[in-house]
Amino acid sequence: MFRSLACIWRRRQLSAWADDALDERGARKMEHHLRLCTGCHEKLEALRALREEVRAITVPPPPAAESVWERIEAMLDGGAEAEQMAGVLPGNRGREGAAVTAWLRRSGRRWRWSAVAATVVVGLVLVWSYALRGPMMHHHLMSGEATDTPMVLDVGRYVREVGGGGLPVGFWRTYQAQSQRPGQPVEGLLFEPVLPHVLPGGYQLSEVKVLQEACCKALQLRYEADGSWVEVFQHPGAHPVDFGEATLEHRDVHGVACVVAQWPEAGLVARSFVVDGVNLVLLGALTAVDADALVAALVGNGG
Amino acid sequence: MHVNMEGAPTEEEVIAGCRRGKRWAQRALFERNYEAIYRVLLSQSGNPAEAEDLVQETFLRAFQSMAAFKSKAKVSTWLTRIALNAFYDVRRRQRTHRQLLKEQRSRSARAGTEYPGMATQNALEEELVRREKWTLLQRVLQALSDRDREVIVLCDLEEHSYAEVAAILDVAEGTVASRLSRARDHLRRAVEGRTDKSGKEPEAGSSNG
Repeated sequence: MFRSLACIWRRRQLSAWADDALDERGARKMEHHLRLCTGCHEKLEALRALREEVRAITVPPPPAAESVWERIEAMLDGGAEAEQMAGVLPGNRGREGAAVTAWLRRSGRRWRWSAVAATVVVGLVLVWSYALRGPMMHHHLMSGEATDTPMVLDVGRYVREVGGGGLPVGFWRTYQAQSQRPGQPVEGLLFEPVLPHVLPGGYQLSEVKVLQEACCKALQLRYEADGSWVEVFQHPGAHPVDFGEATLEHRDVHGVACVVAQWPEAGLVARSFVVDGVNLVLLGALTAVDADALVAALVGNGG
Repeated sequence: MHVNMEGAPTEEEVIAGCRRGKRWAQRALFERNYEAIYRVLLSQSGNPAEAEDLVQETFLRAFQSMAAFKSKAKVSTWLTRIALNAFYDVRRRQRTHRQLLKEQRSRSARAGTEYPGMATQNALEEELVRREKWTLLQRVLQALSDRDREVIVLCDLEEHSYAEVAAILDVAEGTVASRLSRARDHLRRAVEGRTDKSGKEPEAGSSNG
């Protein structure tokens, strides 16, 4: 059951808590929460174990400093030439640009033309699919089974996680594009969300995931813009969301009844509202103005 | 030319020497920071040859832009930032849409085949101990996004403080905290994903025998 959004955002702070990086007030609240919430407590233990696992790993030793320095020195002595190369990738390997040019030169005219033609075709197909379907999403969701028909988000384990109900967040489509090698078409999956790709303020849809914890279950769409983020939770059921310790206010935002929640110490605000019978929660480090504009965009009044 | 270690120059002297293009100072800056920079680049790229090339690129860029270095900052922080920028520049050049698609397909293919004996979290832990931990971590790390991997590398592998990482990435400390939290979440999912997909998870009811 979706018991408390408090868990969702407390969990964002668990990692900082594990690193002793919360301020005194945050730490006190976290301590209190951890005493009550076994789910978060287990999460903390798992987080610590994973962190220690990573910390215990020794990175392999580097090659001898002397040999690397000799190459750097040679390039410093190379003067202008080295400077020119510093813009590409210096060193004995990795000059992929030069390698490709040399390859084209060697392999002669026929190959050169077919490579150019194939590149143009792939480019056109990509531009076409982008224009038609919005940006491609390359996320863990993409590893689901491909199908030939559009479908509601019911890819593999995600369906199991949300209990079999396909949630109307978007569609998967397979598509094919011309490959450079004849007879081997490129296949890909496109995720086409129903909610907008872009929200006011330049927030781009960057991730779709299912939150499945002991205390709460929700579908989450994350939007990002220049280092800031907004998340839209779409949670099943018609019961109202419990915002835990937040300060609450009921307000009309662009004709939509909203519960406005704020956690000042975390710098987070949330708006909970219903669109077409679906509970949506908008969460982020937003000002009231931003949040109201985003609500309008999500209910379709955004222009 | 070797630096006389008896009167080893201070960091300020080294930086001043580098600003004047002195070779001994450049070498000292390299020697003092080479290993840390290499570690970050190796963890980030997952490829020793690429890491070595990027180390050269990092120091060449640093020597060329010594004037841009503000003395208040820590030189290691500044170098790490240059190293990560060099890494992202190379990635940008390499990453066409076509490559992304190819990678994604091979990633899903790999996920299904490469970890035969791992069925549970415990099995993974044993596996971590038994096999070379680094190799396994690298595989999981490489499944993360560059941005996720970067904070894990800086905070957990290199054990920099949030403040240092904030300075390296030129973001607020709060941003480091939230990015690290997300990255660890993704790391955990990547680890669990590995165990789910290749093991005999009963409900999955899928493929491998």
